[in-house]
Amino acid sequence: MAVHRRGYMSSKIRPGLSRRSFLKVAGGIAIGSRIGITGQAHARSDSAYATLIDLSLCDGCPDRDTPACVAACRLEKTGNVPDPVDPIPELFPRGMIEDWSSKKEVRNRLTPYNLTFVQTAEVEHQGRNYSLHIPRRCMHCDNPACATICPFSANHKYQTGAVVIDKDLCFGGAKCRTVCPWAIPQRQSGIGIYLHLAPTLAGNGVMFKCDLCQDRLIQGREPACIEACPQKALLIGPKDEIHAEAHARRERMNGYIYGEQENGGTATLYVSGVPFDKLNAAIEKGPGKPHLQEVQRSMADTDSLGRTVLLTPLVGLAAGIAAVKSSLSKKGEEPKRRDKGDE
Amino acid sequence: MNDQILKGTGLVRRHSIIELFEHWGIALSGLVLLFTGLFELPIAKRYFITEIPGLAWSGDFILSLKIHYLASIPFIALSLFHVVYHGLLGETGMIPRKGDFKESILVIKSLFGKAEEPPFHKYLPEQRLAYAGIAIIIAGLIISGLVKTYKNIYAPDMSYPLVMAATWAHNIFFVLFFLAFLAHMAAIVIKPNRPMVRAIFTGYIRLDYARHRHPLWMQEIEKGCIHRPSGSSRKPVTDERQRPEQEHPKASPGSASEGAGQDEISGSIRICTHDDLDAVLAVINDGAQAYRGVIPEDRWKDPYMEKTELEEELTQGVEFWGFEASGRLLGIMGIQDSGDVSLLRHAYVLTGMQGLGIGTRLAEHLETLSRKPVLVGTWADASWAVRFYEKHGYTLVSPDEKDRLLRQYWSIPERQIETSVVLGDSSWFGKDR
Repeated sequence: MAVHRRGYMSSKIRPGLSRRSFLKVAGGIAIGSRIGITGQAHARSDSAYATLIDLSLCDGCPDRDTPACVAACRLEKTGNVPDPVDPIPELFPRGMIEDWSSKKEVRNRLTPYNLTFVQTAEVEHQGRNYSLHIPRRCMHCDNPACATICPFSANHKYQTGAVVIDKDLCFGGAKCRTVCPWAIPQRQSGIGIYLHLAPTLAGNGVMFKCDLCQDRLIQGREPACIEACPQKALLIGPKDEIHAEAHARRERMNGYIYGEQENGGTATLYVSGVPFDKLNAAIEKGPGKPHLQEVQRSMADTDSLGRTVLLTPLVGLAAGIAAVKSSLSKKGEEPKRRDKGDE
Repeated sequence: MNDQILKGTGLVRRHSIIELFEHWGIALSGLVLLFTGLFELPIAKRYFITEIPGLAWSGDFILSLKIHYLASIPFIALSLFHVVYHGLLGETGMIPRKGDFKESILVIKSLFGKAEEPPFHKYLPEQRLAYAGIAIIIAGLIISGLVKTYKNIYAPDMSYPLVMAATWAHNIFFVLFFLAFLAHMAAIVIKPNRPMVRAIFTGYIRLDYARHRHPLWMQEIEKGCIHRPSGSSRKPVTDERQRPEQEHPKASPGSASEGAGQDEISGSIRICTHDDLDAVLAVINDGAQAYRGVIPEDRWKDPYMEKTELEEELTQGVEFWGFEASGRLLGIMGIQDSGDVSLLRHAYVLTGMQGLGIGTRLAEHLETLSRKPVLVGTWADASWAVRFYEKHGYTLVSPDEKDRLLRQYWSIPERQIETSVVLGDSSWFGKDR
């Protein structure tokens, strides 16, 4: 809670974020100027946020029907998913319609209507039994394949660090879910732009996932779930500050962090006194119920090829100039020879 | 430019090794890019493409991306190489020219038999337009692709409008690239274009095809790479040898072919009938432009010959033969029986088609028709015509004999006798002497 208590002194670097909200987010740490590009791989915006989820603090809101974060998210996103057409067009030649509109009440997994949920894990660690609660949602990866690989750029990582799907542009092809290590995005069929083209042939709805309340971030407000957490188990702040805080807490509890290395780094750091492989083994996993395994960034081994591609224009230019030089020197010799031959 | 006629093989070099390498490198990597790009849409699984043997990978977006990156390396390098290399060497034959659009429409009409196909340079006007089109598409794909690649590696959070512009530019140019590819395939299916296809595999096309469809290109080649005496000079050359001012007939190949060599243009020789009168007249009046400013002014008129005059020649027994390619009369030559000799009369080749061997083909053909000695008359000032006949075994007769022959075998005005020369073939001289 240290970050929270200290409060931030400056919000100037993030237009739109009020000083007050920063005070609320976390206290008093002066933030230096953070504008500019560092040039290192992955998301490197200095103005990006990160979030911290402290599993030692989350109690799953035992006194509530629905955990506060989940309730706040659902309230915040009320009306986010339009009503699907009826009937939802069948897909040709194959493909499954995914319709959650009649199952809006589901809260024990990710759905288009439920962008965060809380997993529970009963684990034993170092002779003690733990009952842990794990809020789950999009990790907001530093270099999210779901966004970079979206064929229509309907999914984008903003400088705030939030990875946001534009529901007006999404065709619901679910490519983002395929490349997401946690299969986070959830599809609602029968809505969106694909209906206006060839609904049976292309597209299948719109993908939904946590957008870190990008609208609120721009206004200088915290995401709804973080604002609602009675335990202050959820925090948001500048990326390096959150990383420092996560490391400090790990030290203190002699614990573990999840999300710092996973998929090449994310904007969501889970801190826990129990190792994550034990948690992963204990949680219920399946569609809409993501794992807690270590994951490599799937696109990492495309980077070296991509860097080569970026250099390729120079190779072409250089080869062209070299070939012209060699061609001209040959031509320079030829006419001389020919002249002699003619005379 | 490496274009040249390969003597004795009947082939013309159309593309250098470098050009073939560029074409196939860009074409093949472009196809790989097309398919891997397509597989970046979530369609492979849905449409059972992953179940086609050998295409199981098509459902793997990351693998498709890797192949896409890999294929883009030759694609980008060769595209830039192409621009730099040919740009710096000034090889700009594929860049559209003024009037290409209009001419393309004419060519398309000609495919349906609704217009006459104009003579071509190395590239057809629609080829030049297509080149510009595909160049813009490829440039758009490369630029937007590079932005996307940079984003993937270094800056997933780059400005959203920029990402959006790059993505949609890439997608739209992808569709255009695919359509351009289809159009390209359709173009080589069209029959008249098919002879060009071998060039993109071997670098060579048939000489006869080039001569008949790309005469302007052949002219460039023959003027440039292959050193020939400038055959189609229209300048009034005064040649001392035929100063003898004798005169008579007006048959003469309008600056017909020197330099056709052994390479022949494809086409056929056929006799002309009354139905061809207008076409024959058109060739005469076009070919006769070579006389303008060369022959005595009082003998020149425009049009050079009236239809009634031509009809008169026919009734006088002049038999016209024409050289025809693609249904067009390109050159004509008349032969007239005149007692104990045959006369070559009215030899003309279209100005755009001169120097391609058409005159030679006609002259050789007409000689086979006659068992008698052959005489030919032409304007004394038409030095190229005199040279043409000399090259084909004719010899100038003496000035005195010329006057006599012109009066005996031709029926032309006195003034024309003054300004003409007569040549006889070897059998004339053999028999006469």
